[in-house]
Amino acid sequence: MTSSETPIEPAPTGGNGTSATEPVSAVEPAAAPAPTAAPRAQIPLGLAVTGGVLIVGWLFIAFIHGFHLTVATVVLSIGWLAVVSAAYFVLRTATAAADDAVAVDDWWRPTGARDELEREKKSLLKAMKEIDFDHEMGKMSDADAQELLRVYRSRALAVLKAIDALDSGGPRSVQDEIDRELRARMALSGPAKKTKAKRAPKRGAGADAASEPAASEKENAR
Amino acid sequence: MSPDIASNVASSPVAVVGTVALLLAYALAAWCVAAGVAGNARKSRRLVLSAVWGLYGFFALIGLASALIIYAFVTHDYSIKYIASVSDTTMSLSYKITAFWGGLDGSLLFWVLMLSVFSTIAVATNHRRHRDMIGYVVGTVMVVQVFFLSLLVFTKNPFATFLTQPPVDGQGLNPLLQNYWMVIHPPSLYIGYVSATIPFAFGVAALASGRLDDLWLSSVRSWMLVCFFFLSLGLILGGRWAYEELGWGGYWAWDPVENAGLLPWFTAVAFLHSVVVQEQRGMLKAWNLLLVIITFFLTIFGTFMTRAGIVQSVHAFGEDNVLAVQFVLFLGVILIGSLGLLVYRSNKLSSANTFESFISREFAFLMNNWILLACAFFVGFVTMFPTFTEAFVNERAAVKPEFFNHWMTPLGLTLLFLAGAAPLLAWRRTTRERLYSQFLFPTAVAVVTVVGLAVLWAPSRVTTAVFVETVSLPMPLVNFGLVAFVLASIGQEFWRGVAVRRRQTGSDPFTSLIGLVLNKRRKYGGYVIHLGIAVMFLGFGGKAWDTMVDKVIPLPEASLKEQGKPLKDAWFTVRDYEFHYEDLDQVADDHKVAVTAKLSLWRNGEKLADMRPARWDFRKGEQPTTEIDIHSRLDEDVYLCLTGFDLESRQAVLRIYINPLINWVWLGFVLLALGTFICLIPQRVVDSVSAAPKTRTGRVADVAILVGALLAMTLLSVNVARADTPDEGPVRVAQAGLEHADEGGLGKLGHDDGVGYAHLYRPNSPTAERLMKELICMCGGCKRETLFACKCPVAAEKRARVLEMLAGMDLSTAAGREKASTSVIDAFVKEYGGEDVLGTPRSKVSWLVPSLAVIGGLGLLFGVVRTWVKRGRTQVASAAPAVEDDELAERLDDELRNTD
Repeated sequence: MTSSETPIEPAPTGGNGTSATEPVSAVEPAAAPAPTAAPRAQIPLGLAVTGGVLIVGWLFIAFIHGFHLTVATVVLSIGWLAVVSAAYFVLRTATAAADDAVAVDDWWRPTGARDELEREKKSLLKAMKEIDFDHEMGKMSDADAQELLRVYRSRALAVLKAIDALDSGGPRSVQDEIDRELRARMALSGPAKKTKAKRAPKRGAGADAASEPAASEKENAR
Repeated sequence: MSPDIASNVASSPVAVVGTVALLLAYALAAWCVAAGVAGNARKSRRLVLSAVWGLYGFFALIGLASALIIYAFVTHDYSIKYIASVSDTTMSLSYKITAFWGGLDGSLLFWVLMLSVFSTIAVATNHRRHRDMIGYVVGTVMVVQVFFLSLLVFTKNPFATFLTQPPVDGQGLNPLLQNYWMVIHPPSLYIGYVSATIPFAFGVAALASGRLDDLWLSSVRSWMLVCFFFLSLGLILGGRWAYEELGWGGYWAWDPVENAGLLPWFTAVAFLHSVVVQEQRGMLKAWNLLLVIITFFLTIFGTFMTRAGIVQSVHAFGEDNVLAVQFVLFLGVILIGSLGLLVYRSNKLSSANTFESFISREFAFLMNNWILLACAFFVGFVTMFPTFTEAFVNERAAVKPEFFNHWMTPLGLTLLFLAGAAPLLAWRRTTRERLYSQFLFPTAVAVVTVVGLAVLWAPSRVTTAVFVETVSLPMPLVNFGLVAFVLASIGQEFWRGVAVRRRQTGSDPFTSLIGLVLNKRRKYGGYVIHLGIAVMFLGFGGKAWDTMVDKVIPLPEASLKEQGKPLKDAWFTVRDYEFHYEDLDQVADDHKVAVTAKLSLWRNGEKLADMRPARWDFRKGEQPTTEIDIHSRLDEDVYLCLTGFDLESRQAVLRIYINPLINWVWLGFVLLALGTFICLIPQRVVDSVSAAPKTRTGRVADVAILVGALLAMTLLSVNVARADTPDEGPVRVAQAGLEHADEGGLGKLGHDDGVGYAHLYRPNSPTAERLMKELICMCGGCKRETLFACKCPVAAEKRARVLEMLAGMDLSTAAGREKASTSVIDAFVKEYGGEDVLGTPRSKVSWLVPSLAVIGGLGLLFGVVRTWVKRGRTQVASAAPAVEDDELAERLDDELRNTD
């Protein structure tokens, strides 16, 4: 199995320069793939080792209890899972603390900015519907309903404008520019080059620093 | 280092590993505090990520410690002191596992476990949305964890082992705790307490980071709902347990530890309402932050009350001065830290909007909040009043439940009114015409209800004391009128809402109803909760005319037959119920000796039920237990308690309670649970149910499944709250207050054979009854019941003394009765050397402080809001309309049309 034959999925990232030390959330929407922090081969190996340790431990627990499924066996198995998990998380705690990659300003902005705007837009639309509903139920006078709707409308329009700005590639960070350029080049090149691009080195301090020269090259080219 | 850690860990590998896990968790928690706070403060990504991973690692370590504790219980590892103190080999598996939180040490570990679970979920689902403050969230949660872990590690290590040879068997769990309720009641309260930490953490993080928009609210609203639900469940279960097991005929006695669960409930409810105002109008930002801080503070305060021994309660773990000092310091840190941040950010918490009218939904919500805070203040102050008096005047005052009721009744009814009135009001202002059209129907229903009940139903005209003993009003009538008002108001909301939805969507009434509820879950789920509260108030109202009677029945029918005596002597009547005393049985087995009175209950010549109140004497236990029997009806319960008996003569002494409307309290909770579940339905579920295109059958199936799931969850809550204590349970609950002390004097009546004292020296006049309800039983065994209610021989002796003192006094005039009451009270105060024998403190502080707080608070509220209203009207007049972009406006209109 060679790297050219085996398409490897990019590690889930936030698209804002996150590293593989970032905890993964199931809620996180799919973002643009970015170069991963750890070599591909280490992730399956790590999982395999962890799984192996877990299974060996469970087998040992079952063995000392005579392979009888009792409450004690189950509780002890949960305990062993906790031990392995604790070791894993403590390791990640230490490696995250030792990771000297410098976060770009974008990292501090909540990911899914567009999702947040969409959420706010839905919330405002619902609020406007609510006012309309209360008005139809006879609780609000026409004047009051219109006044409140006007306030919400102006807020909703501002949110729509912000969404449009994001979609049309409005003000973006240097990192976003690099991501867009990379995606564009990957789309132009073939699968082999795509695979090669996916195995780009970990985005660390160097990557952030490298983004500066890349951006300035781009600026010079213009 | 505590001897618990240094000396005792060698004998059990479980203890060693468990202690190491706690120590590692403690160190990791400390790292997370430092890394999280420094990470966000210095914008260090690595520190923030390290803190987040550390939180997950902490959860794993606490999970390990918890698993080991349970393993020790299951494998009877009595080398560990905690296991030996709360477990034994005869306990069933379920009780062994629930013994985890049965003692102080284990309950602290359970708290840490619950908080680690919740914080892991909260951080995992929110860390990407809140990168600029998640470090602060982790840091705040971990400060709490560090505190509790320091208690575990340094003073209350649940893995501490014996220095010498461990016992062969454990002491077992307190029989009071070995029942069905113990599985559910404490965990539900703990979950309620612990879940308040998450909103607090996000609130502090928002203050620390300066991110004071509404984003943090969306992350915490559901957590506060969870807090509200589990606190409600815990409180109701506690009430149900007290009603079913403790044998005093009631479900709520304002016990200090019960009050500790009620305090954060008030502030959580206040937050859930005022957050709507912030989302809708951008107002009350500082208020909401203050509420999450106060709610969290009160959860820790409640824990402090339970564990430090500063209050007297059957629930309390006992006195512990070291723990008390630690808690006080931590409470100080919470208050100073969080309030300091609030003041620091106060300039960012102003709102562009303001109040424009007193007759507005915003003001109704604000009023609701103030009343809830007033309730919390009053209950907290009066609960702590005995501790204050002991600290400042060296005399521990007592406060009887009636003192709480005098105040909480009018405050509660005000809240009930607001529960019905607020939904009828509009945002910003309600014009006179709208006010009339909205309030007409509910007010008419209330008036008709009050008039109808006053004319047709005498019990509703009973008067009860309000604020002070001398002021008496027909509160049941007011209560029922307001219940009718709320039911009509909410009913009108549903009716009109469905009508509007039908007009908008063209669908049938049922589909419109489902669509209305699903698309406006928070509103209509909240309305269902309001309905539940109103139904509970219906149940509360019946207390005003409940009945308690003590009866001595010399011979059962079986004996009368043997002796050829008239069988009618085995019958007696209480109100319109007839009781037939059939026999007295004694049965013995390996565990206990059970004495059971066999009775049948009749009404209008029709047999309603067989009743079997009993007393069980366990061979292992110290105290006999009482088995209540209850015949439940929708309109009232007939509640029987065997307070004494004589095996030789087969005499039975019974206490009979008739509790009107009490089951509506439990039914009301069912509605409250249903409403909460509706509010918690995720948007994803609603989207999947309402996704189009679907056939009509498919839509109906979707809705049916959702409704079925809601009902199943509600019924599960009901099942949890039902009093089906299994008959085959190994141990029954001891009854507090039943012959717990024998100070001589009445010993000749046969304390050991269980004749009973509850029926002796009952009041023979209203003055005597009032005095017996005012004086507290000082035997030290009951939970400070009054002489009127307590069943012990000490109470009987004191009742005799009251009757003896009143015998020579003039009770024919009001002045004579007043003089007699005063002289009896003075005599008791002199005998006991203080006023702790009184149920109502004579100190003016006890009512003056709450009065000033409530009245002063309301005055302040009106004054401040009046200024805001004036300012608000000026602002509205000067606001200019904005210019719209046509294309954007068209898009917005399209999206609005597609929004449900």
